[in-house]
Amino acid sequence: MTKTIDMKDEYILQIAGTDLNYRSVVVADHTPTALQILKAGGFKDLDQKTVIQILPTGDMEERRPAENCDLASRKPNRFIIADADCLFRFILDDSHLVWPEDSISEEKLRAIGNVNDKADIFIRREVEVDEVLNKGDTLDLTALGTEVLYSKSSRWKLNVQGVKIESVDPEISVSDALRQAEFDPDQGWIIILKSASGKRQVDLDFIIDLREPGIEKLRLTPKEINNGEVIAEYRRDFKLLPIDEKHLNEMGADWETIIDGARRWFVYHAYILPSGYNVEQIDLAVEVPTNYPGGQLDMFFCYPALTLSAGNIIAQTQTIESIKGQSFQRWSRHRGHSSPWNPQKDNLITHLGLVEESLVREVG
Amino acid sequence: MDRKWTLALSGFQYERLQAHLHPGDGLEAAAILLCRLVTGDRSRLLVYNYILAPLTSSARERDHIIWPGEVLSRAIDSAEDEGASLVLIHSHPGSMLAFSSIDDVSDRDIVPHIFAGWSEQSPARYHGSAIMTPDGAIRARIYDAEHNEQMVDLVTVVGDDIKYFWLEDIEGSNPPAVVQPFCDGMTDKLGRLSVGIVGASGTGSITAEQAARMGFGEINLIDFDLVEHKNLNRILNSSIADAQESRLKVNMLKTAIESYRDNCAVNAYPLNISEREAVLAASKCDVLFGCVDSLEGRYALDLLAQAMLLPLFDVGVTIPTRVSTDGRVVISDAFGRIDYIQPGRSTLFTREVYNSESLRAEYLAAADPDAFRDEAAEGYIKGIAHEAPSVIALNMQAASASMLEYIARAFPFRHESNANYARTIFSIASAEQDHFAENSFSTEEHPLFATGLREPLLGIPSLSE
Repeated sequence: MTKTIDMKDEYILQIAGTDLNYRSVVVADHTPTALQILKAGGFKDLDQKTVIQILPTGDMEERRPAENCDLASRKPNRFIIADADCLFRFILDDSHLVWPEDSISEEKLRAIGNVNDKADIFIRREVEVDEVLNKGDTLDLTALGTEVLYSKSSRWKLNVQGVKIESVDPEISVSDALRQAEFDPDQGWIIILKSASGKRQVDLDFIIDLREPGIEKLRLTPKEINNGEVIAEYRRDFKLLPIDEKHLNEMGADWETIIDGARRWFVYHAYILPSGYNVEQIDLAVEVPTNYPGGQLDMFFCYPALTLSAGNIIAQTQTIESIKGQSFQRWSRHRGHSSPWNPQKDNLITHLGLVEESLVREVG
Repeated sequence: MDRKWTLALSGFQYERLQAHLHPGDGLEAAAILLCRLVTGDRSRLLVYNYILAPLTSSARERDHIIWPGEVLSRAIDSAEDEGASLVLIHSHPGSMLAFSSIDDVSDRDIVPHIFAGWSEQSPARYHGSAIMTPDGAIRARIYDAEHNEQMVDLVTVVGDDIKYFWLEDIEGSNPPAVVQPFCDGMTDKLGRLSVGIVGASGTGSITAEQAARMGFGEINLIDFDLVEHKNLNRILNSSIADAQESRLKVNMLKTAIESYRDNCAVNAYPLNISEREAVLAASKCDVLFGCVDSLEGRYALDLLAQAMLLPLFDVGVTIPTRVSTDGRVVISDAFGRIDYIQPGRSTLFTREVYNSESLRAEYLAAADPDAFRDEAAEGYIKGIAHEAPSVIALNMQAASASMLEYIARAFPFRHESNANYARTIFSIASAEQDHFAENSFSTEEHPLFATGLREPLLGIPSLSE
């Protein structure tokens, strides 16, 4: 005989064991007790079973036999049912999870934690570097302290002629990289891929493996340089310390060293400011004495002159210095007595740290 | 002055090596010197570090030592990264300052092994061996990649005392006799040495005069400036004709020295010591006298002493003034200062002769006097002292004290240790003289120590090629 159930009282649940193979069962109540769910699932030895509800928030909670389980509407209502003496508790991406076994595979963790395929799951470590869980790994839950896990999408970075791009896929074609960096791939470029193993010329179809250690940047040079289309040549009137040049180039900075009269200037073009100023970018200048690094770097200079969006006055910036005919605003910012310039440790890069701090402080 | 090879050590390294090599039990002991090589007409091996062969795990006898090979292996590991040269040194407790036949056999075995074991692409071209007798004398030899032996002409130690161990002074296997200061022996020894005098004005011309008359074999004069009429009151040997012809000070002094010395090479470098060529010229000297009036010059010399393991004698004079209540300028004193700088110990920087602010201020004063005055008025540049121009009488006393300081260290005669005289300051007004010991100044490990002529030269980008 066929049993009929009033449609209004029919609720579908997904239940699974620790294999996570879900099957559907039907209950007649939108707040069934754990016991009702077990019965609906056809389980025996009901007092041996543990019922775990996966909440719409992603949290997992154990339900006592007589406890009512609120079902969510229009969402899968999932339950894990297992024989368990105790539960193992941990946190993944801010969700509180429980698991009835003393270990869990990476694959199941991804499923109950709702972590997508592009992301990796990491175990947060106090002292060592956080550990990534690889495919096929099993996480020992007994070894966990108050274990915290998190997932993070792998992002692969590449510098395309000064423009930083990110890729979720560790492999990217040269033409895609150019497009993403907003260069027209068909404009006719000589493309050089710089990596730790050296430089090589590549074409548009070349696939860059961003996992290769030391991949640095793609350098683009127009195949034909015509009059009027010459890429700006940066001046190098004097040298900086090797460590300065290395860092500046790593930062992808556009910089020059200029001797104007007898004064020697480092100029950082298109230096990006924190928000709160009248402009977003400036040319930032620092005077570099001939006897640098014995002679210290002091103060810095901004073109165009900066004002605060909030309208407040910026102290000690009223002096104007002419560099190659441009009027730079001098920021009289100096090292404190507690941290004097140390010729053996300080350099342009440490000075740029102070510059940034000074610029942030005004708008902080 | 046709010296090919010099091995240079700092005093503090030398003392620790001597204590290890001659621990007092009369048995041989060994160590490996890690050296940076500066090649040129006068190649120098600069000892930047050493590895001691442990006394307990070496088989030590009165005339023999077998030491653990792992010490050599460690030394090669460390030296490969630096492209360094190794010099294996051991002691001869019996005072024989010569290589024994056992030493020869050992070198023939081990030196090819060092060259063969080198895993870097460009192996150091020279490695060598050395011996030290209980009196501290060192004799050294080096081998090229074809294992050809060359003797090291001079082993020099730059510490509180400046030691010279000349190959040509070793008779047979006997250590050389001690040379008395102020006597003929001193003149002979100075005749083998090259002195760098940086600055050829008030104190520099007097230092040059002393160096030349005392008998230095080579004198290098470095100064970019021209003789002017206003200089005639204090530059030795300068004449009205020199001023009228605006002769270079260094050329004027060269001519003068050559008029009374015919056994001396005088090289005139019309350069600022803050120029690359001047630094390279000074780097070839055995001793430096800093007679400059710029902080930048002192800075370069300070670094050069560390990088090339050179002794530096820096001299300064000042006649500070003050303004009295009734508006008159009053001379408050006349001072002379002599600083002796040795590698690996305190520097002109740690002694606060200059600092990073004063160097920058000096740059700005030269690059843009208006901007300098503005910054001084705003208080960003501090401590511009008012002083009267110096006078030859004061310059002479200071330059003389500086040269005597050199003699006291190279041919020791002081009642007390030279360590007590790292700095001398004399005050004419109070008729007092103060001495400051080396250990009264702070010392920090210097990044340029024994780095030679590594680029950028002296770590200063403006000196790079």
